[in-house]
Amino acid sequence: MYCVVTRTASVSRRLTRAALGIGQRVLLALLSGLVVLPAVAAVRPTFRYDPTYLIDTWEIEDGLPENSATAMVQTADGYLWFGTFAGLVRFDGVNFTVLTTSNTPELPDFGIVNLHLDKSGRMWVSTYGGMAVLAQNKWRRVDKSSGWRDGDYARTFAERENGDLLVTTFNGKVFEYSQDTLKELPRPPGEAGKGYHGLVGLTGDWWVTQHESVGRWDGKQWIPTTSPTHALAAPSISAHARDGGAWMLIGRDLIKLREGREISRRTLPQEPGGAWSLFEDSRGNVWICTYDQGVCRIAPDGEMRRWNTSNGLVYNGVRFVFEDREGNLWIGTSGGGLNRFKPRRFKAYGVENNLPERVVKSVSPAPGGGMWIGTYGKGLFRVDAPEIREVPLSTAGRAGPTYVQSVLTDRAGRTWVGSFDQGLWVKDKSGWRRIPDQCVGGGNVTSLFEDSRNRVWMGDGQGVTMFDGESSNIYAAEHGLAHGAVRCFAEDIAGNIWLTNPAGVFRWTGSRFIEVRDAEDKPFRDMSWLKSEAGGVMWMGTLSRGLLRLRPGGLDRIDERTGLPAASFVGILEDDRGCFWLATNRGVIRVLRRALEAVADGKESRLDYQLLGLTDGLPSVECAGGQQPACARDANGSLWFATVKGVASIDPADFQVNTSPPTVEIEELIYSVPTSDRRKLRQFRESRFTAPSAVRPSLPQGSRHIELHYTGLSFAAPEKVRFETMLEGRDAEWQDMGDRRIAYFNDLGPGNYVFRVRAANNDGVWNKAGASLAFAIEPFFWQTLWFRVGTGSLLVLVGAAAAWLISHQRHRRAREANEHFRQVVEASLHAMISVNKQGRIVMVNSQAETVFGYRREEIIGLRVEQLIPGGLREQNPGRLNSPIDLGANTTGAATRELTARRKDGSEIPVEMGVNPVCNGSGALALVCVIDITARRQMERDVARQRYELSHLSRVNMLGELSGSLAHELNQPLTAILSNAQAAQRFLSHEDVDLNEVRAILSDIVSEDKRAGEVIRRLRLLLKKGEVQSQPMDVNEAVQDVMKLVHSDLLNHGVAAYTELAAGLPAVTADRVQIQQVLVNLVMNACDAMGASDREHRKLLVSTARDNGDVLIRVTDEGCGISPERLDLIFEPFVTTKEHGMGLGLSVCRTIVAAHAGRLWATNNASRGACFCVSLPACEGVAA
Amino acid sequence: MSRPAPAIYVVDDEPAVLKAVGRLLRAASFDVITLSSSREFLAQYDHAAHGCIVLDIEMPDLNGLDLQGTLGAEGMGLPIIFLTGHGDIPKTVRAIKQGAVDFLTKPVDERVLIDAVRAAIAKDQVYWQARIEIAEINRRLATLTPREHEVLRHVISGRLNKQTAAELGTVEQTIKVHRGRVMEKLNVESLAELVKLAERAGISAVPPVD
Repeated sequence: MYCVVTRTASVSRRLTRAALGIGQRVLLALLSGLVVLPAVAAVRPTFRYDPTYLIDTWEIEDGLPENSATAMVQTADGYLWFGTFAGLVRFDGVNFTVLTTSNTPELPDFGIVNLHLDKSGRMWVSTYGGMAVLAQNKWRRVDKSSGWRDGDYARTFAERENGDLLVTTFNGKVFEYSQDTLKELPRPPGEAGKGYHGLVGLTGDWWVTQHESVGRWDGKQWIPTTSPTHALAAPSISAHARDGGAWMLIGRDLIKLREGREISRRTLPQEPGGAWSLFEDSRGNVWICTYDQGVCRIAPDGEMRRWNTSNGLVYNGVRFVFEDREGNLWIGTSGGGLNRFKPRRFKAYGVENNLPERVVKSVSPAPGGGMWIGTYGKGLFRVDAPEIREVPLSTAGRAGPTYVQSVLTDRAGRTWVGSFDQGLWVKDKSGWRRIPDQCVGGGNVTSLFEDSRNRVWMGDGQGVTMFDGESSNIYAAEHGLAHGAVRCFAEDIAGNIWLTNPAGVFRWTGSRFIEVRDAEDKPFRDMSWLKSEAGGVMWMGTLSRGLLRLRPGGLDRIDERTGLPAASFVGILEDDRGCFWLATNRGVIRVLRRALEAVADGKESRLDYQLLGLTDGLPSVECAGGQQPACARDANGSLWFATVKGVASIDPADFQVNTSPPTVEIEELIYSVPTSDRRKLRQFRESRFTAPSAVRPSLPQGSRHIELHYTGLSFAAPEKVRFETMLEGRDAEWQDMGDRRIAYFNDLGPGNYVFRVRAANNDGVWNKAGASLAFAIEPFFWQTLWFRVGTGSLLVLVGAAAAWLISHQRHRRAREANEHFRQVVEASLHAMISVNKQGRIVMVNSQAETVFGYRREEIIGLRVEQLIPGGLREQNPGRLNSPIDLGANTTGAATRELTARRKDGSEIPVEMGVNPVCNGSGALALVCVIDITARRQMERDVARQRYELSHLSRVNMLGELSGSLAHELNQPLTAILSNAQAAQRFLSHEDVDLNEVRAILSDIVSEDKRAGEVIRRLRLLLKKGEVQSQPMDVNEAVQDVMKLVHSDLLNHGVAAYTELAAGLPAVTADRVQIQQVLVNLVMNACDAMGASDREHRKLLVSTARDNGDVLIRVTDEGCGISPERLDLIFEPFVTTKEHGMGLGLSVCRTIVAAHAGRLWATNNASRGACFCVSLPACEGVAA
Repeated sequence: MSRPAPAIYVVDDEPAVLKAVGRLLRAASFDVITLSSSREFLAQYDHAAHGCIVLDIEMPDLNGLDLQGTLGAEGMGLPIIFLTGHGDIPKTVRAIKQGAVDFLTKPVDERVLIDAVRAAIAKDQVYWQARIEIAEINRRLATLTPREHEVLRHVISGRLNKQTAAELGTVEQTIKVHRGRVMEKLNVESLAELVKLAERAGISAVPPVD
């Protein structure tokens, strides 16, 4: 995708004029009024199968002004500058800013031929139309007075330590720049009209080369020195060597010279082509740029590689190779744009280098140093870098598996291949063969693992097969293993085998699999990788929830919330340098083990890591997962990862974190100002190329829509540069901007602000200092200080006068209020005590004298505690020490009961409340003391009356029950009497049947007991005794009651049923009272059904559990209760009966309420009423 | 027809009471049949039974008074002595109205109970005689054809033969034949005897036609 911002220069000029027109407010012109509009560079897909470099290309479509790059420098602020034939370009990795004669009038011409950055930071720009120098952000033309003519194009620049320059031109001129003057030197030896290459010798003298000619400047004249032995027609070029001296290419010979003497010579294996320039990079490679055959690299070992249009470049004419501070190589062409050669971190094997299948499921070491690659669709391959070859698996004419999911060579040398389509294959001495399906659980082999005892474990869709030598065992559901394809095996330090499948994590105990669960007994469901290590720690990669660390006694999670940039972890490898390499669905993450542990331990909240992806050479960011082995270490310590687009390998020993933090620049400040029209805004733009500036831009009144454009200069992966900003004066914290390079502030008020920005490079290395820009927004006059001070002073004056008046008034009112307060206190019916800060009594009313038995003057000065021991201290521990506390917390404090001590030593119950007061007399709290002696007495009376009433109701109930009770007693009495008289008769017979008499006596005894039982129940029910609350079984109570009322029910012709819930909890209650209630309810129900037909004389007593309560329902099928009376019936003296007193239900409700329960009535849907008693269950006590 | 020994049916849902009362009556040399509910009694009783019932009132399902009503409707006529734990006035009234011979309250003294039983048995003597007679009349009446039964009702109403013939839509001669056959089947000699028998059997007369 290309995103080229096109804005015309005329717009920028208009804006510039507008900005200037506003009156010198716009700070600008650090580049002479330059307002440049950047083009945004698009990031192209970087993956090309160059084994060494990732090659990116920017052409005119990507924002270049013209499709060439003639020369490049990197300025101290970090920008890359390069020349094109249509302008000078500044590049920050994302945006191209183009300088041409239209926006930079000082540039002699827009065609840039060469660039040089000297040691003092001046940039020399050679154009078609002359030369200019940019120094301290000011342009200066190199004019004709120095002898430089417009037709002179600089071909080379050489610089001494002291900053003197030697400039050679294409037309054979040589200039020296020294002491701020440029002067032409005499023509060196060599062919006239042909360009020279300038060099600086070790001692600082000038050298020039042309073809085979070499000359040295002795300060006055050129001295021809030792000429290279070869005299060839081919042009020769030269460049500085990094260790001093110079490289020189003559024909096919690459020669290194020092002080004019040849110290090495290498004949290249092939003709490099038409050489244009030479360059030595920081790795010791010498690059030969040609104008016709691309670019060649001569490695220190002599290996020669060439890049041209066949393998990465779009044009074969190459002008320069330039290395930036981060080690990226920039290759400029004269028709194919700009290229970046970035050293690969990952080597990759994929479709573009002869792996015919994209999807790779498995990678593991092969015997002899290579690696197995299991592809999903094209079978097995083997890499012996850089070669890839197919490994045919076939036996007896039968084709081998094509969907390989797992490949493993064990210590015995056997190679196992697990596949989706053809089960398990193995190669031993006799060649490839397929393991018969009956020896394995089924097809779809997903995992292979060899444990420390040389046993090979294979997991498939059905279960697990363990190969131990020649024997094999199949383990499946009957061994405790849940169904599902095994994703990974691991062996812990104790030698136990662990595995994970979609159902969870399992551990082999030697006889069966035990499921491993978390502390909440939940299964570990989406684990995809296990990595065991010392101390019983198991690292687990999950498919959606980050990384887990299972350790004895705990489970730690590291996921997106704790800084990991991925959620799915399909592989975990560790190198020898203390780093974890995590295969994820977002690339490979490299993280220090101790950093990971610190986050897992909770010691750190932010995790530093490197996320490696396409820009590091990974063919895809999606690593293959769900199989084993999907990533592996080879014998050399390199790490291999299977991905959905091939395999990648990386040597951790070679890996270097990009430690150069990006330099940060604030480039532009854009804001809008309302016009006189008010509805329209006018936009202004300030460009800056250096920061921080001593000048603080000041924005006019009402400025809004403020944009700050900034950049972070890192060229390894500019799109991965991250930013944080903070606007001092508004923000207190850094804001994460991601990769955004513009900050917007819409409605800032007037004031001073400092905008700060900092950035991190692709490897997460931060430039903490960053950059900052201070700016101000001017206030309107009413927002200014003097205006505020002025109006403020006026207000203060007015305020002071008003305050004096108010204070005067207040004093008077305070006096009145104090008097009023005293009167109110005095008039109170309760004892009132005013307490000062020290807790001493300062004022009391006459009621207090009565309550405490002191005279007023005796009380004053006492502490409240002396009257009410523990009063204030307990109620407000420590509160009285601070008026604020009192004021804040005591208002409305609940009163509570205490014991007060009177002067005569007697104790009385009181209620006490404390309220803070503020008045002039220094009182702090007003304590209200209420003598509750009378209330207590009243409460006792009420309690006694209630008790009497309840007894009365019991007696009343006895009347109601009398018929029933008589019957209950009559039955046994009848039986006893009749039995006894029968016995008398039997005894009077002549032949006495003693057996009969014995039976009779036995019956008499049991009937007598039964009568006793009836009386006992009756006494219990009617006993006038203390209420005894204890756990009781509601069902038992109901059953007892039903026995008691049995006869009454019969009498009333009522059929009674019970439905008692099993396992009810006990309730804490007085059994007798509850039964009394039930008897009452049952009798009421009988009465209610008196007029009903026989089939409707049904009574149901049921019990049930209702949340924390036990519910008893007495349901009848009687006449029901009219809705308006449903609540009324519980009022005393309300009755529906002809002869009722109307006390039963009210007493019942009182009793139930005393048990913290509820009694209510409802009408049934069909007919009759239902009375419900709900009592709180006493939890933990089974009934 | 020979007269069977009198039996005392004791019906009470309370097993202990049932057992004890039964024992007491047996000790007093009565034949006693104890039954624990009204239904059980109804399943057991014999129309030709002779004796009395000692009946509890408060029983689930069908209580004593209900049982009494049922038996009265069936024209059974075994005398009933109620024995109740708690006899209120309405119940007593209802029981007596329905023909109970006595109404005793629990606990009951043997003398009272046995006297009541004896009195009931004595009463049953008369009842039984009548029951036997009525049973014989009913047996004879059962031999009449519907037409003869119709003629009987007209005859005992005092209608003349020709009146009867007119009302039944036939001729006088036919009525004469029917009348003779009725007298023969019912084994009566005179019209007066026929009327008396019909009265005892409770056969209603035909209301006069205007």
